[in-house]
Amino acid sequence: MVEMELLLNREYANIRKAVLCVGSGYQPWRLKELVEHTRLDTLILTGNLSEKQAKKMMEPLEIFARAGKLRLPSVFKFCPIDAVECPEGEFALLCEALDETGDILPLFGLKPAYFFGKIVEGGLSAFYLWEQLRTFSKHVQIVTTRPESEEQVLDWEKDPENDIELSVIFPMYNVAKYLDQCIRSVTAWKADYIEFLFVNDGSPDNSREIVLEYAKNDPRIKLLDKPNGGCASARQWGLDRAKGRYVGFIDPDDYVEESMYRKLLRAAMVGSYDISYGGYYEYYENNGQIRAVDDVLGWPYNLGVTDPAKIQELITFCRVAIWRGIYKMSMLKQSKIHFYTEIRRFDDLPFKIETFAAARSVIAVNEPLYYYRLARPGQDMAADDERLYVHFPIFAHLNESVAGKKDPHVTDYLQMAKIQTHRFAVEKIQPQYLKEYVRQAREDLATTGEFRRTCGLAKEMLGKRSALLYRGIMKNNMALIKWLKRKA
Amino acid sequence: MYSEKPFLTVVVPVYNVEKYLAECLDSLINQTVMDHKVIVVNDGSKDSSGEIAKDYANKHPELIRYVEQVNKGLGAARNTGMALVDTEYVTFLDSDDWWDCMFVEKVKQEFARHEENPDIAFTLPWIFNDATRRTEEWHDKYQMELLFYPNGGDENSPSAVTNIREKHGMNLYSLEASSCRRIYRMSFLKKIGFSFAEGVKWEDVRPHFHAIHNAKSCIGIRSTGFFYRINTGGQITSGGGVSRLDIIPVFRETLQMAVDEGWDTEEIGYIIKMFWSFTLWSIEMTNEEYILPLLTGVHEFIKTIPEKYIRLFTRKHTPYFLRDMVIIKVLQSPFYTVLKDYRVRAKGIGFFRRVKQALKINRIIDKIRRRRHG
Repeated sequence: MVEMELLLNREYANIRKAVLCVGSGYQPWRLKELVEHTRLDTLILTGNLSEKQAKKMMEPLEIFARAGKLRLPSVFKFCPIDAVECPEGEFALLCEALDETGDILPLFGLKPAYFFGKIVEGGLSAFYLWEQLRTFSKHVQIVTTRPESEEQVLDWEKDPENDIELSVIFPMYNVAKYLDQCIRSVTAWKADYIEFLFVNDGSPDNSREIVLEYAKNDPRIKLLDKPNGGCASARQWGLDRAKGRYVGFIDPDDYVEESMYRKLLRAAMVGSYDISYGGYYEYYENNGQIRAVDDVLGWPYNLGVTDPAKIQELITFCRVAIWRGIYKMSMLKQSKIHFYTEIRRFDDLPFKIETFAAARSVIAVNEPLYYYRLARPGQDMAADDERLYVHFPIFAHLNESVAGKKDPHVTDYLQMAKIQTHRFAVEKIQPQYLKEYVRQAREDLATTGEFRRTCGLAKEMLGKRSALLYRGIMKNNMALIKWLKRKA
Repeated sequence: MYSEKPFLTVVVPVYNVEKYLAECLDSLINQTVMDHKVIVVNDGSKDSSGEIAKDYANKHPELIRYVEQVNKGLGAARNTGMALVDTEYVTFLDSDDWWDCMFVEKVKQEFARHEENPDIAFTLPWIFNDATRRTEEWHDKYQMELLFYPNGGDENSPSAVTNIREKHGMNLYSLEASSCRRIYRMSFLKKIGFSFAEGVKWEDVRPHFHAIHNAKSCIGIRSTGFFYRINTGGQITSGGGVSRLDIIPVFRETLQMAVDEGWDTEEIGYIIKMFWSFTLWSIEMTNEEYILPLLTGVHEFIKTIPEKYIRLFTRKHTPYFLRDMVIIKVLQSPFYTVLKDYRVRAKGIGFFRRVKQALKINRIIDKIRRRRHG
């Protein structure tokens, strides 16, 4: 039995009528299986077939039925694809072994309430079919078979109260200068099942007016006002009010590839992934340079992973960039992932670690889709003083939420992520703050791992330099740390 | 629509599953053939599952019976339900899983093909992966087909009738221990005094061996089954908690039962086999907090198992006898705590693989095995 029969059986109370669209390669034994394993009242066979081909498929079943070995549906016949008699009431449209996925499109005119199908990767995507079906279908399930890889399932049920699939949240503070470019690039995709939530974090400039101006022509744009509280609180404000099944975040001073969210949503929905993420460009504002960033995007992540070990690796090895992905809302809710609103910066670091620790499946889109604006005055990345101490409250939260789960693998990856973060900070921080930073880092690192074990692990996963830095921090060897800082 | 005297009762223990319960009960109501009863045992749920179940019971009074108890655990809830069964057959279903809509029909069809009613019927479930939405095959599908359909055949060919005394019948022990995939004859269960272990997890294990040891006739039904939902929560929350420690008392009890009743050594080998696969899997899944207690428990338990059973197991039941023998030796020794680190375990296994490759030991092992099994 394959998914189609199982699904028909699952919806047995609702579906008794079906139209089956097949290609010329459809095998009679598959048809027999379908009839044998389900209890349909009406089954209409159609597709790019001649009368003769269809007869060849149906004849063996009729012989079985005459011998009393099979119970046929009470209506069981063939209709040519351009003259399908639409069954009365709700029915399911099924498709299998199509010659071209596009062959099914004329039948969407019948407005089936259910659509279950199996298609091959390479033609029209399951996402495209879903886009055509979503207005009138209640339940769509499309299995995409892929060469040399596991099948992916798009499984979508209509929510009668809410038709938003994706919410994009913009935490907004003093970004009027860049807002035009950002809004134009994001709204270029005209799908009506997304919403753009601009959270105005008490911004003193005229960004509010700019958004309202755009909102006049685009009902998908919504403005939310809140008192100033920092980026994390603005993201949380938006997250609490987002309706989408997936949620994404953008910094409004950046801009995106016009197809970004379509690509991410397509990757996520075809396969029901918890997280889908893409690559990004670094855009240097001072000299206009654009550079694609190296990251973990290739095999096996571009094919989608469900292996926890592979997903947990991302905790350490994936770059911190909340805005290049979309996240399944139900996962965030179930794992109670939220932003730590009292922390004023680097709020995407805990978010990354918590989401990858909770995700059951992840897929990467292997191309850069987002333009990350750098070398802008007042940006987080520019901090090189005591503002870097913010890492410690962040890791205190993570010790509780991630290491508190007591999974040894996740704890180890968290420890590696800590070492990486501290390395980044130590290399950057001004000398007068170094001593205090190292002291706090030592306390922090001691909570999640034993010294000798972590040394070995760090050497294996992050390389010699990071292992040395860890040793330096733990043994309070300032000479070693300063040497590493010079070498950076 | 409903039959006067149904032949099958399904016991559904319910505990905090409001999200999935409706789907489960819907699948029991919407069967193509209605010849069954449902007993829902609410095991002191703290969420709205109780109300949902009561609602269904009020709507379908002739089908669903609702009982309540204070929270005692899955095994106890199943025992409570089992005590109320008045039909010839009984089966179980966990409340986050659901039945195929032709379950009753296919089961009746298969039973009609046999003159005598079997003691146990094994169905073939599917796995539903909640994260990927894929439906996967049940773990022991091929083993089951070898056991019950040795000649292949199509959907309509009848299953072989077997028990542990038949040729290859011992393989019944290595089927999944899950109770939900079996249909038991009530009179048979009463005769052998069958009950689930209460207050521990893995309540299926002892009943699995107990029932199969005593069953005179077992059949397989490969055309239908229930859907087993996996991967529902965040992977780290569903990981190993304190319940993993229960494998020790559960297997100790099982082994005790087998030794007391004077089972074949052969049969005890199968108990050790299942214990070993549970142990390896639990050690990998258990979190930092409980790994040491688990290892200590295994260490103490494994020391009490007579050497002859362990030898039987390593010789006959494992394809990796070198690896397993070394792990058992380590677990028996006072140095068993080194296994608490997953990196040590992974490195150890990698070491064996390299040694094997270097010595081309595989060929030698194959040779020994071929000679031993003729």
